[in-house]
Amino acid sequence: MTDDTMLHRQVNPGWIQNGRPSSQTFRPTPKDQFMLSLYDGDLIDAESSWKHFTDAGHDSVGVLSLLVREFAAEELICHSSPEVFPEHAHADYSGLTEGQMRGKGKRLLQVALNRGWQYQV
Amino acid sequence: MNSQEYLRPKLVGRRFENHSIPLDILRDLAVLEEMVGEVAKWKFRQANPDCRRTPRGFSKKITIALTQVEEGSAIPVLALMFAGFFPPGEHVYYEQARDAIIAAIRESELQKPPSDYLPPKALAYFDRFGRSLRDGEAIEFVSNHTEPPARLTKEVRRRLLLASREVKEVTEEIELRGMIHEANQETMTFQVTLADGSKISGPIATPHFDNIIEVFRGYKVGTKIHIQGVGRFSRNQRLLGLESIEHTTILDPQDIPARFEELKLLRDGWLDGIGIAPPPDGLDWLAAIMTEKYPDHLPLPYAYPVAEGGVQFEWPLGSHEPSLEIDLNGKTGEWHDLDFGTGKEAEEPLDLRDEKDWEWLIGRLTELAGDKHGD
Repeated sequence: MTDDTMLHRQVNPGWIQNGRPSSQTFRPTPKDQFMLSLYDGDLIDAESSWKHFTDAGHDSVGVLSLLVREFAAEELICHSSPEVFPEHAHADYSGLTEGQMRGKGKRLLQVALNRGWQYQV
Repeated sequence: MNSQEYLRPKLVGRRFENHSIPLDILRDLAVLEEMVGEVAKWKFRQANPDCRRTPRGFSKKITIALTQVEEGSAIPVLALMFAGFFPPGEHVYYEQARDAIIAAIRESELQKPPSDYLPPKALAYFDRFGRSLRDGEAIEFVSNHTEPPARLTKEVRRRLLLASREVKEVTEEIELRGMIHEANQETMTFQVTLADGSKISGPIATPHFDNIIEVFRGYKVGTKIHIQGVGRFSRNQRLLGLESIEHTTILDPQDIPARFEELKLLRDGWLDGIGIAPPPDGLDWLAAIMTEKYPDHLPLPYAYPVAEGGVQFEWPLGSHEPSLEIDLNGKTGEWHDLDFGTGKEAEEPLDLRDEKDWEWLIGRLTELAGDKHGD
């Protein structure tokens, strides 16, 4: 994984309304223990990540993606986590308050939307 | 014409306070004349089994008219109207018909079969009589002063209808929201897709033609319509279609009740197996309070479910992106605003049961929306 590695994030169907995704897409939920689940783009492309995700029984309307350095610009460190499955990665939000995570989620969503959907159903 | 007081049904419910009767209830009362006439004929045939039909002009000698509305929770006074000094002989059967209708309502209210008092054909009149009643409303009928009044409510009306084997469908006043995926100008019918994906057909009434066609054209961009009308339901309460349309409104793409209908379809586990579904009564509370407090001049927020069972509103307002994460059980909110221009963030906990916090929220959104227009 390098600074220019693309990281793919699945978008839940509940988090899209009239084509606009929620900023929660880039914010871990409390049960995620501050780790935002991602796919490592060096190992899997966006469409294949969608297929892998939905084949596992989860719902996704598409894939938004960010570079490792775009997470780093928000002081979020990304790691590979192959112990979950080989292409799995995560961004670490540890130590942040809810408010800080909300702000980062909004900024990251804007960057991802500027890049555009990398895969959409 | 002479008259004789016939019936004084008492209308109970908030809509009938201040001595007023909504026009849709008058439509129900108009059905009563038709119904009473048919039951009176049935009573005549019961009393005269040798007569194969009722005498010619039986129901033309008597009409029913609204003669006054009494004070209190509105009481329309209905009278039998007839030519001549004395009522015609048929009036006896009209009296019996009234008593039979009241007895059938009373039996049904007590969860007993009403068919001892009314034939199946007469019970079918309840499809139109009482249809305008809403939850919490009733029409009370007094037959004598020793028994409590018989109360016709939505539920009692339904039981009366289902007691008739001739009733295959029940009509109810309904409101629904959806997208129109099909409109046929030749048959003047359309089909609407509801939030749960079910498809319902209905007639295109001329006054609503333009709205229906506009929503049909906006199908691909998710344009929705709000329809008020009469729906046809199966005996097991499945919506079969629309019988008629009374009002249509093209909805804002972010219409809150329409969005909440979608959120009500979420089940626990909706977010990769962990999301808690928002409680329906919490969504109803939020929709109602938004209708009451949220001004028309502000853009409606996007509304998304939150993993813990709440709702998050998001307002993309130019360089600002405010959001409000709402706890539907605690009725509290967490306001967060990000100014993309300066990078500044602001947070505020809100108590959404508190009028002052709503004023703060509306004031802040008004400022931000104004800033957006000024950009």
